[in-house]
Amino acid sequence: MSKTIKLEHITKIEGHANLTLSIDGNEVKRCELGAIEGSRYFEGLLKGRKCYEAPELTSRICGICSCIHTMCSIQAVENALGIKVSEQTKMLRELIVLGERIRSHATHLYFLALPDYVGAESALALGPKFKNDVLRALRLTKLGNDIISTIGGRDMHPVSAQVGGMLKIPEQEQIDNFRRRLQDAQADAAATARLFTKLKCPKFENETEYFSLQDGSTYPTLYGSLVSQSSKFKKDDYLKYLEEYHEPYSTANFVVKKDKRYMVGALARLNNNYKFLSKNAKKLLTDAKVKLPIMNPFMNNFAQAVELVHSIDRCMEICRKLKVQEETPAEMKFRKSRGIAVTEAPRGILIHDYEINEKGDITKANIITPTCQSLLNMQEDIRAFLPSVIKLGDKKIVFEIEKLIRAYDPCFSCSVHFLKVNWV
Amino acid sequence: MARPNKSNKPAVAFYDLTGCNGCLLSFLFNEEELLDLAAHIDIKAFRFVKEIKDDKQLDIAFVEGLVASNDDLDILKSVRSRAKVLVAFGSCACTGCIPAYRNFIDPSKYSGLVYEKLKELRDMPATPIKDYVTVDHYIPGCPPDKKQVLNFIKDVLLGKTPVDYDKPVCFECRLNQNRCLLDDGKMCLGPITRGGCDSICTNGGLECWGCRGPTPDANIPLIIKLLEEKGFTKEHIKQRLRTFAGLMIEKPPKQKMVKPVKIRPKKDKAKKKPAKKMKKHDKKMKKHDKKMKKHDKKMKKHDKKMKKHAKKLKRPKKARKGKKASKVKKTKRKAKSHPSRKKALKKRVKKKPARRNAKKNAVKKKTKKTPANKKTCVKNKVKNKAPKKVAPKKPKKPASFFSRMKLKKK
Repeated sequence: MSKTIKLEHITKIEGHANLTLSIDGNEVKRCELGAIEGSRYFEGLLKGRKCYEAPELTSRICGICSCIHTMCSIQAVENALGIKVSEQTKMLRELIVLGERIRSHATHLYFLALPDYVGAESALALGPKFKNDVLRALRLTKLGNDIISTIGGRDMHPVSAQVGGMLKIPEQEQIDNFRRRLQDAQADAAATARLFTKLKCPKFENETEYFSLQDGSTYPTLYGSLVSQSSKFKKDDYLKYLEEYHEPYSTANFVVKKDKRYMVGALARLNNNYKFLSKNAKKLLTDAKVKLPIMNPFMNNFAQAVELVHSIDRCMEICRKLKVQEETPAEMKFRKSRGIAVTEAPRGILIHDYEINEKGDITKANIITPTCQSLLNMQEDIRAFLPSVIKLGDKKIVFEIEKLIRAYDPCFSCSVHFLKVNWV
Repeated sequence: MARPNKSNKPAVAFYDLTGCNGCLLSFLFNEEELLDLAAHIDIKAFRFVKEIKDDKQLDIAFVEGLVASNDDLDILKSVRSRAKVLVAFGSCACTGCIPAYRNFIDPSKYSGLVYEKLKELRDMPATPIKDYVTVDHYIPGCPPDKKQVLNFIKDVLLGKTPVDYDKPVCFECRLNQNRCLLDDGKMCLGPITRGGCDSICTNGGLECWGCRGPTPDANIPLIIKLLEEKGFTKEHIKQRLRTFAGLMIEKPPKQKMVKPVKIRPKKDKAKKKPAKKMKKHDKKMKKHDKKMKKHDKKMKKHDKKMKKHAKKLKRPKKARKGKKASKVKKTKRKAKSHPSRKKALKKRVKKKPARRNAKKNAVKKKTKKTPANKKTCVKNKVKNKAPKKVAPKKPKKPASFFSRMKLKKK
């Protein structure tokens, strides 16, 4: 007996996505996961615009990871124009990106993932038993937001970070204040990690390639080359290895490495870079007694919790080092060139690639977002995971699969700005 | 009217169409107030954090994003039919924001990105929601200030009518004691842009990009002239103006449909091609029919007018004997038409062009406001005025905020 399950407008993820499954007995015949968000053609919109306007435009690709899009775009333009920025600018940028990671992970863990595990419909409907958890989540998001808005000028689509440097530099007092607040937040992060270590993940392993950045000295945020278990290549060569293709049921592209699926995101970062975690985060890993590399995609939630702890420690480290000075952004000299930047968004590797002409106009743009890269892996994981839940009945199947999709923390509005759809 | 739900909490729903989810997030980022707020309202739909329970009736529906696919349009229409108050939440919904900038660029720039996909996912020209449904309130901004939506809900809970802010950004920027970025030679659109954002971008050092759309009295030709004097090219200025609120300022050029790139080559091309042509032909014919119908209606109206006019012409002949009487009648008519005639006249001048444009656009996009839809839109309980529409450019009006500023400087 065959049956078809259709999941439309999956909730508690960023953006719109559909899933079509058709099952025959114990066999999965069709499994198609696709984004159904309308297309916005950001790469087309960038053509003909001044290169220094790109950060402002591309940050609108996604609300939840707007900062990393801004930074990636800035770095791509800087790479093209050969601009080198000061250490202070680098640190401030990293703070913004880490602030976003704290905010994004906290939002995902508590608002999108947790309700599934404790049997609630939403985080706002969690009972009094979980009131402390929700309050903790809100404190963490507030911390992330405050870091971004103090340094970036705005909590979403930050304005102060521009090509060449920062338009506005925060006061030393503000930085010191954050140090104190971050110290307080360490307890919250640790509690989060404990909570997500306790949660029971379904036993499921599906090995794949885990891609992330690696710069050899720190846990990756903005710099480094692309690394997986079996390969390593420089960011400028990404087109040699990665390939985009499309399927008729999705408005987002699928990205593969030599026809093979791979995974990006917190889990991939953790698997490749656990050496560079902060002390607290490392301790957490040993306490949790997990085997590395982790092959269970459900453990992406745990990886995010570990990253949350690390990000707060790292922010404190930067705040301790940072002694702010007044400085103005470097000047731009336009030239015909190409700039590629690869960064780590909360959900994984983000690539911005621009070609610029002598006048400073963008002539070609290519953007690859994390969800596009994980999309195929997500689909294949669902296919592999289905047989283990197939006897549970439709409702339960849907529930478990949604849990799996949410574990990836996909961001479908990001993934869909490229392509799509037939104008009949 | 009794509230649809048993409790006295208003039923509030958040919907997202094509967009970045940033506006909905900005609501969630009211960290301190969120839980209190959640206790005072009944959140029916918020796909980002909970399952959707599509209630039959909603008190307030916030819609984020713009219409860029058929799916979006279906959601939007269903929301409108159920909501007492529909709020366009964020710039995409209000002005079209960056996705609508696509209406102004040559489709060849993104033709390589258009692929053939499922039929029901048909791509549509990116348009703000007001082109398809009546919008009761606008909360602009990319993203809106997080306190704005909070204040809106507070106002509704207290029974106040939320008021749209229409002073330019410069107003708040001056209060925040920022350096004028125009004086610094930056392409700042503050003088013509709706404020209410606490000039957050200029506080951070970035010039205003105009994300909230133009103020009702924006003098666009003047700002173009001024920026040209600062050394920017006209093309660059226009690009900027079109980025966030292009559709509010000018009409987009007509665009040819982009031929989608086929994913898999199909064997029976010969059979399919004529079918497509026929479709095109049919569509053309439909368009033509619509036009003809409209024309007929116009003609009928015109005939009626002519008849009335003829009657009027006849009337004065009879009334010639008593001139005074006719005068009294006229004044009476004035008084009846409106108590504050001047204001009414002004409003009419503002609103008419916007409506016309909207209608034209709607016809172009082959969608109409269905009569059923209009009927079901129950007038809002909050007693707000008729939906405000941002007036399009009015080049003739000389005294804008900016020119006033210039005068002061002199």
